[in-house]
Amino acid sequence: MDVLHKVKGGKEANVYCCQAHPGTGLGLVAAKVYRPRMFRNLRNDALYRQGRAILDDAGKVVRDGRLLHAIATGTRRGKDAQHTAWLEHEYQTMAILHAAGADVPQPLASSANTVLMEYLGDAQSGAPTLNQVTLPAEEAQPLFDRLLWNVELMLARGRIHGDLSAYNVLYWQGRGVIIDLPQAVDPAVNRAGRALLRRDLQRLCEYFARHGIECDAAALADDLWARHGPDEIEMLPEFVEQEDGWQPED
Amino acid sequence: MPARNLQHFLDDDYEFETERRGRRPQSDLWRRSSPRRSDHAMLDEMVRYGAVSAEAAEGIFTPTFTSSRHEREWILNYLGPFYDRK
Repeated sequence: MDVLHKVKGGKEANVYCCQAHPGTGLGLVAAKVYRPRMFRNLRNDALYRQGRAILDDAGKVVRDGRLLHAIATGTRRGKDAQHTAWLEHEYQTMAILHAAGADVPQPLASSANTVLMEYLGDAQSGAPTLNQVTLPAEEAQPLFDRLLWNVELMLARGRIHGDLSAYNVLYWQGRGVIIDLPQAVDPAVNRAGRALLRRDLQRLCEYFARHGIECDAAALADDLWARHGPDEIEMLPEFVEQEDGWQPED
Repeated sequence: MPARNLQHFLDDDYEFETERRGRRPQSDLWRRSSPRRSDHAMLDEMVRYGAVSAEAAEGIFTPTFTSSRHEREWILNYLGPFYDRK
């Protein structure tokens, strides 16, 4: 394995283009390396973690009472565990959605601070995001339809992206690929799910409106929710107090 | 009363024991602030300073990507285990 170049540097993680070992037959892979916990801004994580199980670096639900207590009291060990769970949640979400046929990068492996996944781009640079490209007019409608299909598929599989916009969709060889999934929420346990779905669709519609596509984000969200949303939201007892009618910022 | 050297009173930099009371020992401070370094980071540094023969360096994770020292250490720490797994 060799690290060739940095694809993207963000406030939460850096993504590097790596050459996999010839024995794996993978060619180029993307390594998303999270910043160490102390350099990350965890201020808004609580909203997305609502109702989530805490996962360890093997992807298993943490049941160790002492560790759960450490998380509840916010000790260093507890924060480390939350950091790992955040990353592991992204890996599992990608695995679920990729297996379902969604347009997300294929996850390959994960560790306590890194996710290895399919690389999109060439050896010189990574695939651009939608906001960085000039979309050909004839491709706008099919791309919008496909992204909408992806949002629906995700909802049917119990996931809402939570931060979907033109910044989190890679455009490569005429295909849109949705990235950055650590904050994805399960609408069955997250009270903010419906509001997040509406915001995701609002942002998509705003982007595609610039390409002449008219759509009503609120109506789309209501329709998708009616077909795939949970009948009842189950709240784990420890998260009930967080229910405060929160609405996402536009 | 313990005897004190007059030079200590004249030396502004000299710290009497009473002034040091309550401070953490210097060795403890060093231990707390020094980052944990992985084997990969140390081996990479040895390769860069030529402390390892070319043959031995072949099995060591030395990424082509050049970056700041901090970022390189970060890459070595977190991607090193994947290199070991090939």
